[in-house]
Amino acid sequence: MNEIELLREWDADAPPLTDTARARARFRLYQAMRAPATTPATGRAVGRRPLLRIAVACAAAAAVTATVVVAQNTGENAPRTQTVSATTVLRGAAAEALRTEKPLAPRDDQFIYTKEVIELKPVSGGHVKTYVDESWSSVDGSKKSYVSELGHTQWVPPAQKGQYSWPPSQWSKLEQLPLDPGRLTIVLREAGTKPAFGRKTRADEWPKVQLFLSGLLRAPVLPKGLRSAAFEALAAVPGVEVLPDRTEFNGHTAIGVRYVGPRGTPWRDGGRVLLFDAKTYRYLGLRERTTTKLTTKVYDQSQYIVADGVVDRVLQRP
Amino acid sequence: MTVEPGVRVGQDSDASVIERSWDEPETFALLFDRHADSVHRYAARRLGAEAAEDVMAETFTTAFQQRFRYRTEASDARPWLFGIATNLIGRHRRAEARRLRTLGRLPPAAPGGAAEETVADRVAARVSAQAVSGELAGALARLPARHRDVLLLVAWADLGYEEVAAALGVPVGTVRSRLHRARRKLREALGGSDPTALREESDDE
Repeated sequence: MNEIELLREWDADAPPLTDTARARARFRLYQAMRAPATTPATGRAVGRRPLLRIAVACAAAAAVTATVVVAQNTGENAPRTQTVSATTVLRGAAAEALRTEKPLAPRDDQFIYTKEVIELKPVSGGHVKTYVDESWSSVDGSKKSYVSELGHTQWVPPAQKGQYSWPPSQWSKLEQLPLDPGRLTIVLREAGTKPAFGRKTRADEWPKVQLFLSGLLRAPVLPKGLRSAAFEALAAVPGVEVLPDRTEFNGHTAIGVRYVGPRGTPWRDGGRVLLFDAKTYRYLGLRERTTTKLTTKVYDQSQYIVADGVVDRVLQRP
Repeated sequence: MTVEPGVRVGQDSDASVIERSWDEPETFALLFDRHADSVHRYAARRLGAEAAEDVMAETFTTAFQQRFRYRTEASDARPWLFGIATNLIGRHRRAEARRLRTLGRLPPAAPGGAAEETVADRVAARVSAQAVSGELAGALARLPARHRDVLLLVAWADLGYEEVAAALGVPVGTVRSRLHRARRKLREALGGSDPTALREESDDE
């Protein structure tokens, strides 16, 4: 018997983990989970809607659209005219975003207003539920935000020290993100460590990069150029592909783009679908399959922004 | 494909759980359920019950907050978790040293019923370890912290050399040399170059 085996056999008077201690530790973890997700890459921010995880309720759109049409995949009737690549669509979207978005400079004491339409269509058929969510998020996270999620409204307290979220709603943090797509990828890949701009992105890092990029694109309002950079960066992610069938979405003929991850990742069967106008490649909204926690009913969820802007106080509209 | 017992692979692996938690944070609780006991036991052996609970809880909240940094090609998250735990234990160096000195002064546990226990090899080993617990504690207390970390990650966290290297962020060669030195000092403290003699003595009793 050697000294390592002796050490292994010596319990050093260590008591086993009690159920009470386990419950306390689990509660601390639970509290951390309730806090906004950590993303040291960009520092602190607020804003992830804290309570309902029934569905992801933030759409990525700078575009303002008016007509509400139930989004359906047209399936067999859709013209199979896939003549473009995901790269073409995303680069087109990048150019369109750069062309159409207005520069914004919200003050820290202001709020970002968004009005968002969310439609839930049961996969098994049935009535389509439509929600209109209006939210006011504190620009620097220092004030209470007022958010609506699937019709449930609530006040969200200011972010606490040490809490981080993605995407950051603190405008100054968003402004620190690079507008060069390649550098943006690397900053997101490194997630808070010092970015190694000379290193190539490894295959196992791309799922993380696409997750951060699609998260960033959820932000309703971004500094000018950042959305364009995110679309360009997404175009370079291996596994991003165009969906074969065109789709009707919010009154538009749309092209879907989604990320399909390698085996063993949650995106193996394809993640959420970003939808772009088939002609202009303007971003329209997103669609994804969701499952309610309580009933485990499966829905196709579509969501898009119909209005956004910067306002001085909660409940004020642009 | 052969898989080491207890190591999950594919969609059930720790890496897969962490990756899922990027999008579904509550999934991370699975990792807690899998490893809370072993992390707690490691921390408790080093720091005692009270600090261990805190270290274990903080290990998982820290891991959760740093989950985006996890390199998902490593299917087993234990080296990562024990690395975090070891860093946290590093904040309690004085407490650990005090505890080891206290354990070093305690009289060895009485090997009650040793005659029957020595029939089972494992029981005999435990008796031997308890019998020299004072020497073990004293030797651990005298080790440089970085040597102690390596030794105890091997002995108490059950990590291999490369896993220890990953946990501490040092080269494997460094792990080997630190472990070699730590083991030599431990052997000396136990009174000879061949600690096997200890068990043989116990067996003879």
